[in-house]
Amino acid sequence: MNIVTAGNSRERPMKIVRACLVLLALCPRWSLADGSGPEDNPYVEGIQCNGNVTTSCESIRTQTDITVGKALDENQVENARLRLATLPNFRAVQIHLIKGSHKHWVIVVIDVMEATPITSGFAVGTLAQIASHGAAVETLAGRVTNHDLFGSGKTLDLSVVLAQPFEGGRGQEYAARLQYSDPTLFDSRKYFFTTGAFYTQADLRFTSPSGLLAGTGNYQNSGAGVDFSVGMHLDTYSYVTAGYRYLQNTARNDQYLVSDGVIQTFNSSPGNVLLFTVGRNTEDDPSFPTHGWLLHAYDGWGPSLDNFAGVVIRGTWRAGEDAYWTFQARPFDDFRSLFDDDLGVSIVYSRNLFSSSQPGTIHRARWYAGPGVTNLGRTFGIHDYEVGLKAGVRLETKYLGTVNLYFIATHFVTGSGY
Amino acid sequence: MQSPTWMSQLLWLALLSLLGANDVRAAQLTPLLQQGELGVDLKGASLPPTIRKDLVSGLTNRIVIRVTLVRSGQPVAQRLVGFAIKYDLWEETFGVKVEVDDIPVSASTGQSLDEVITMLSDLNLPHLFAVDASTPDKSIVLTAEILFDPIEKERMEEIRKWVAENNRSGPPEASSLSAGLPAPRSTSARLFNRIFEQYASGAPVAATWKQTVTSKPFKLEELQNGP
Repeated sequence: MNIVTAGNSRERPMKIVRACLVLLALCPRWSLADGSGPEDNPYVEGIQCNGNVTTSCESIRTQTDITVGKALDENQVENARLRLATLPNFRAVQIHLIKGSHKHWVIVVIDVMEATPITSGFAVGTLAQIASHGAAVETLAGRVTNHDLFGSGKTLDLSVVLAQPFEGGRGQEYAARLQYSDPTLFDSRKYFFTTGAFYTQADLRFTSPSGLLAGTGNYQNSGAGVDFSVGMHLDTYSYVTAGYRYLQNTARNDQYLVSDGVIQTFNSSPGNVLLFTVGRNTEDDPSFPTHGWLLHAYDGWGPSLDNFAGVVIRGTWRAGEDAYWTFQARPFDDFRSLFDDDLGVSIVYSRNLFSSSQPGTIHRARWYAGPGVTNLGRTFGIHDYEVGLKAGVRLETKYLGTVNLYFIATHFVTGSGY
Repeated sequence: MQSPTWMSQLLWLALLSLLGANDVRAAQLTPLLQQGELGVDLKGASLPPTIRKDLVSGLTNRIVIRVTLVRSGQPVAQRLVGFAIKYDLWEETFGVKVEVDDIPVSASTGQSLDEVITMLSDLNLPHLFAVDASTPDKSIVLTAEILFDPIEKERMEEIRKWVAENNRSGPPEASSLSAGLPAPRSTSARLFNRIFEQYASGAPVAATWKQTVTSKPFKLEELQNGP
């Protein structure tokens, strides 16, 4: 319904607002949610796609639920846009209508901007041990991931970590892992598959027994392995996996940081390990979580290796406008990076540096800070801990992907014996 | 190896943080007093970069402006002004419907895209709040939160579940090389994250594009009561 009023066109709508605010009862009734009455809805004559190079229009159409020949449902169109925009294939999705062959018949045009399937992430951090066992280690880590390997929807991820003492010690540690993941094993939405190969080498020598090494001064390790796991989704957020890892130490007298933080020395390869995990993950974003929680329990069993098991728990909840609390408990991971760039149990306050995603070089940024404690395990019957504080900033950047810059300061605490 | 100092690392963090302080176009919110009722004049609101394309999409564009009256630091009243703009593909005109607090107040037709954009850039919203003339000396602030194509929380929850079921990623690695290293993630979820962050921050309604404009503090006695 059009209302024609006098006056110049620029002022016309607002004059109507003014008039109707005074005489609300005389104004026409219509729904903002729909934007128009059902009688105004055109019929769908066809669906077209624009901008898709590697994704077929057929696969785009199947995600929309829009039916040709039926009346256009704008809510359905908006849902389709949001769904498509969250798929890894697309960076941006817009939908518009063009005239069909007859009046009140339209063609739905889906404009997509395909996303680059390659993403990256980096972490740069300092772990500093203060007080009597002074030591400081700089860690640099990076990963490159292809989320759509050869257009197949499979993922290939390479991650590399380098750690080097710059105070109280010498040597270095580095590790790398190449991992292939199939999120839809045999085109199933229920099963997924992961396989990977890794290599670690560490030769670290501290000038005094360091809490970083649970009381010892040196750490030498060189190992490689391959593993695979088959997983199954139990429901929307829960999963289980079962897998196998073959581990080969490549030098004699290798040391491994195993369960409960104790360093064990192996003269021969630990060999075969069975892997099991069970978990539930309702987090909305692993790097910038706003709410949700994660429980990830794992167990590894090998005949020539101590059993190792652990639970990772993480929960995030709102602490105010653009602010969050995150609780995290992550006991020792077996064969983890020696200088674990996190505290074992921590509670962290984080806050966005700007309230919503920005179009510039840095899309999102969030600083965080909080205390924590790490269980270093037992050495000669004495239970050791580190209490500490971590702080940093996590950035979602245009060119480098997600970047985590952090600083962890810890204080070594020797507890009582058995 | 050169030992980096902690201070230089902190400065580096601060510099990177400042890089994120992107420019936001200045908008102006001016109070209007007419017939004893307070309204607002909103000029220069930041429009989405895709606005010209969105408005001729043939689909309904919804714009919600939440105007809040803050007196002595406390929000005392709120009005929700909604615009629904739809381009008629055959008539090549723009239907503009306006409602306040779910009550329709006008329906008009714009003849050109520029006319509609001009209207959105210079909004005059009178008669929003009946003000108490007995307390003219108290300081008042008006805020306007402008949301383009707002998305209801329930719809976002449904889509989030759909994404979890249809775009599954594997579980976290049991033997991650580095806890600090960000998990691999595609760049496409930016839209979803932007909306969801707003809900997580306590916003009752969220949008892919939003802007908040605040007026300068004023007193009723400073305003000229118009016709």
